[in-house]
Amino acid sequence: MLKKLFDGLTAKSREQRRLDLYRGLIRHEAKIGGQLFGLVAPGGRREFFCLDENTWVWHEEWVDSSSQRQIKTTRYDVRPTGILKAQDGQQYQRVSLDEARRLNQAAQAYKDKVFNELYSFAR
Amino acid sequence: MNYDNQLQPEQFPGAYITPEVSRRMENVHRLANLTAQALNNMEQGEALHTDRSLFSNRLPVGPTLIPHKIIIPDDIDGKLVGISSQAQNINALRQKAQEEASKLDRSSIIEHLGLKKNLNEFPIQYEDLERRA
Repeated sequence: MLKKLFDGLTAKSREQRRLDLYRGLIRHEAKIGGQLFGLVAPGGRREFFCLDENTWVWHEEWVDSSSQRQIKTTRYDVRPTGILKAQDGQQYQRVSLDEARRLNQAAQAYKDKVFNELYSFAR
Repeated sequence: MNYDNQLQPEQFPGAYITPEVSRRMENVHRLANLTAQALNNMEQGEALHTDRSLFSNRLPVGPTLIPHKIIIPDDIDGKLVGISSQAQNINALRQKAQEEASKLDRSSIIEHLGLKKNLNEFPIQYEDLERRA
């Protein structure tokens, strides 16, 4: 009985550790990705990361001219035939060719930077 | 939260070689490739669209017909040439029939049909034709 409970707790703890590690990796990638686009204004925050195998996320926080904190989160849903984006939970819309080109540049730079700075030991 | 300190090897001994790391690397790799593929397809679609626009500007709306002229391209196969010959034969037969018909006068037609010989009784009534038949 005690062994079962202990095994259950251990399994749960192991699963939780895996989940924590996975989230930690994403957070770290997001920080690296946020550095791709230059300096962030004081008081601001920028993250850009691969959420899963179909989704890029760009999260930006800044303080506007009236000292109000602004937050904008953009999701890019990538399909083989095109790229859709949704901002702050609004409807998806197809991105322009120019925006797709810029996103692709960012994606390739992200991959290089993350692989070199975070996963270089595993290659 | 300090991300830098979160993933130091001494804090996560052996953590780097885990399924989570492999999964992250695979996801990043796949998404970067998929993004490039999507862009490529979008550019091709755009190029195709541009080509179609140019093409449609150059072509007149609908087919262009050249009357009384059969154009046979150099690379046409024998089957199509055969069809073309048949069409030419039909045209020749039709022309010949029209020439023969123009030689006939009304009286010979009436005589041939066994109808009334008086030209003044024209036009031929449908009932007359039916009765003769």
